Amino acid sequence: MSPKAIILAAALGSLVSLATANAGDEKGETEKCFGVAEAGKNGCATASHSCAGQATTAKDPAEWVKVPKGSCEKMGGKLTGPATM
Amino acid sequence: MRLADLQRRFVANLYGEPADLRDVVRDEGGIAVADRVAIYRNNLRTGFEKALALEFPVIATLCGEAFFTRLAREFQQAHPSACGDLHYVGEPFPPYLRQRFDGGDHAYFADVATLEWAREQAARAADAPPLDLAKLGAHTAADAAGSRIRVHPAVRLTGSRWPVLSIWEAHQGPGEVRGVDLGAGAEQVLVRRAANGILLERITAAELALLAGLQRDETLGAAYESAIAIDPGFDVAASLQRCVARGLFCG
Repeated sequence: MSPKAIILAAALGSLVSLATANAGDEKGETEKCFGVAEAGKNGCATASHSCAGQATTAKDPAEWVKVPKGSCEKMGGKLTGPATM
Repeated sequence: MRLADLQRRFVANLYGEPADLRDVVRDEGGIAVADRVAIYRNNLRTGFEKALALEFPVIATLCGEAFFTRLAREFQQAHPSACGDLHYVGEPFPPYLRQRFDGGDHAYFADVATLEWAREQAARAADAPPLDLAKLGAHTAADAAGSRIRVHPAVRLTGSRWPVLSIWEAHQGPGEVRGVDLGAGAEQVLVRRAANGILLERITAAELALLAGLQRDETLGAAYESAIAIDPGFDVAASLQRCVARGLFCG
């Protein structure tokens, strides 16, 4: 066997000994987390917008800003907008 | 008027300039046709923008409310929702941001969005039983380099030349967003699903290369070559043990 093959065989061997050490754990973490969903991100929350946009006029395009004006100003980048805008 | 033409005119009205639709939408007294169509249009935009902001909360904060509204509208014009499920509206958003901000001061937005989308994907990916380590040993003792290890479907890997995880972390929790030095260098992030939610973790470039190789169904030998090409001193045994402990492999 080449040195690399020996390293890999030893690495896999170390995993098998992990299995022996963890023999008491019947269930892996992945089995418990099935269906995990984050608060506010289920389908109902995302879709419950039927009243959200009922103002009869859309926002005036003139209100749009040309450059991001949020927390990106704290990220140490320059404050000028990308050339593509 | 054919139904298809009617639908085309209605959609053009939703995504383009408001047009006179009085021959398409019946006037039944009450609210004027133009106002009713405007309500429909605003709902379409607002729902889309809210779904996008739920999927990309850090991008929304980085942009600020007014700019994010503009960006969401531009993006919706280019990529209208193609699915009844709003969970998928954001799928083309990271590549859209890449092209939109390419080469500018906000080019890192695309990589932050990629990380946020990886969290979304990890949350919704299929489940799989953990790897049976005893079987692994039996199968692979003879040919460790030629063996393949399946990476759990909920594992995502993303790397950036910007400190994307530091940026993401600066936006978590209550209070003011902390500043992050964009010049702090590259970060590689492991995204995984655990019992207590979606976890993000910095990993080395070599470990990312190993996992990415295995994820592409490469042999352990080939994935290991990619890792030691980045870091000749890469400790593959320690790395694999960490991966098993985190439940990154499945059967």
